[in-house]
Amino acid sequence: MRLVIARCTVDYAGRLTAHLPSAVRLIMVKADGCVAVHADGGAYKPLNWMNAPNTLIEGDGVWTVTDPKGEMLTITLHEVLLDVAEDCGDDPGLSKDGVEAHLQELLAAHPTALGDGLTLVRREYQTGIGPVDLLCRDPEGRAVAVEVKRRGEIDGVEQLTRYLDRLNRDPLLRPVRGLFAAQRIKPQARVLAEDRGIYCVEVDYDDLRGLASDELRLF
Amino acid sequence: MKFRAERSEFADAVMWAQRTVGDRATLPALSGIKLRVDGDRLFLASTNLEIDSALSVPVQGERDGAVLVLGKLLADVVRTLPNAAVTAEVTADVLHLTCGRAQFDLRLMPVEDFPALKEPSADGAVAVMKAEEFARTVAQVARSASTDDARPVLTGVNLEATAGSLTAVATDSYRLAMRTVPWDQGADTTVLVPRRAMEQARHAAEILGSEVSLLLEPAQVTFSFSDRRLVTRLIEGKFPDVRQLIPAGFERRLTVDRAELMEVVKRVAVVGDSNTSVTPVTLHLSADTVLVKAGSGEIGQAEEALPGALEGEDLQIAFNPRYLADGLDAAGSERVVLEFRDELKPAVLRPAPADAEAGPASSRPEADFLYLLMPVRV
Repeated sequence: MRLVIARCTVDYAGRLTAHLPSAVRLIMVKADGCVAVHADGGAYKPLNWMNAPNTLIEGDGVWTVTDPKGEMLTITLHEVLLDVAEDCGDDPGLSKDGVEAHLQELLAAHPTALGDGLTLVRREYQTGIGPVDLLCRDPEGRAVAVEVKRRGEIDGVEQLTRYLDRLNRDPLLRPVRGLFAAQRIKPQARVLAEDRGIYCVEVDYDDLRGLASDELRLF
Repeated sequence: MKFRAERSEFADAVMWAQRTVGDRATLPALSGIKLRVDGDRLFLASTNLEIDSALSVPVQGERDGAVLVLGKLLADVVRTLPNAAVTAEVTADVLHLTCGRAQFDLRLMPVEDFPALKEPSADGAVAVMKAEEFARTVAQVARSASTDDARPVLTGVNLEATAGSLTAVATDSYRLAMRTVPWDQGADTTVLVPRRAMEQARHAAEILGSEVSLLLEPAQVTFSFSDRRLVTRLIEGKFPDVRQLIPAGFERRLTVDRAELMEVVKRVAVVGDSNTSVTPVTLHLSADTVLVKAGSGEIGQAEEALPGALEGEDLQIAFNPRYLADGLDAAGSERVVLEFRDELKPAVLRPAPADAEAGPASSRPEADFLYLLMPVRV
């Protein structure tokens, strides 16, 4: 993330043209290539912005941002007051209170959303090193340990791996299959999970809420 | 630029252009209507970057030119003008409007900032429909499109053109409306048009009558009328495969007077209006009577019976009253046929055949309009 506070003029050319006269503004350049120009007001809305993918060329006092659609943002820097950059790393995503717990609750009520014929044994099944979110049985009666996350990342897969290791020591349960459920599963997490024989299921929170309510839908 | 125009024609044109004026504060030019005089015609253009509108009206042109004026302000001004000829003249950066004894000076915006409008391809295959049929099709179908932007593909009307027919479909996942009309273009094309664009085109078809020309292209759709044109971008994404949702058969079939059922549903549903969530209406169907009930002990209850012919076993089924009334309104026929499987499966509503008596269950009405409605669990 790079933040530049500068006195600048901004010209946008695309389907129309727009001009911002000289003033002090915040220019935000995000790691994914998004460029946004903010004034000291107007809440979260930038005055001008270009969504990634962009190409940013820094000339002598002039930045040119272009995108594949042929739109161009030209930022002329008259005076740079601040120029800082910081690597923010991977973002853990917006964590809304209760959503993950609600997701677990909904999946406990509708385990078939995770797989055909799946039935719930119990929620928060103790493994000795912490509770696995759901313990289910598949139609053949085999145990399935389910870890539920809002965002499926590698640490979630590692967590489920540890639980599976513990659960598979129980002669009454083993073999225990692993199932990693999340609203969105990152590709790296999916590769790691599938490499370890753990199934991955992406679930739609809104659909589940629809299931939980009495609303009937056509699809 | 200088012209003299009839007040009503000028006002209608400005009002129409105003409907597609954009509201993005960061792009001020979008909030304007571009006025251009070329000889004895005034051309008006506006865009919100989704829908581009262009139209022209005859005027007494005195000096050619083009200006950009704030759309809302211009519309507010012309709406209040007295019934007299309007004279418009530009000097420097002001548009002087004179009508009777009323005078307005409207500040102009830089006309060069106004974006170029989307142009239909010159060699595209244009299909022509009767304006009345087009307007009716949109009115029947578009209301079932979703207003929730969370699922953009459901906020549009899917137009599927095949040899000889055009099928318009919209659904918000609770109900679905589908109408098929004759189509004089052979090329197979499917486009997903924003509901707002369809409604704007319908408005034009209703006020202008005559015919509407449709040009379906991969990235945009153009609706052309005698003096105006709308070009809309399309919604990206795949529209659900809705044909598989239409039940192949039914267990029960009700034939009922459409207007009477609609009136009863609306009347009975009033007891649910004070609720924040919609209170369903329940239809109690028996051989020759439809009993419509709504409400609960907490708020109040209502019921009313009307005659209806049911083939099959008795059934109790509940619906969102607004969606049911929408379907009945859209069907338009004197009587409607409702087909049911059970109380949790979608019901199919179609206009009943024109002949007085409904035929046996096997002779389904070959209507070109279909409304699929999901019941509510009670």
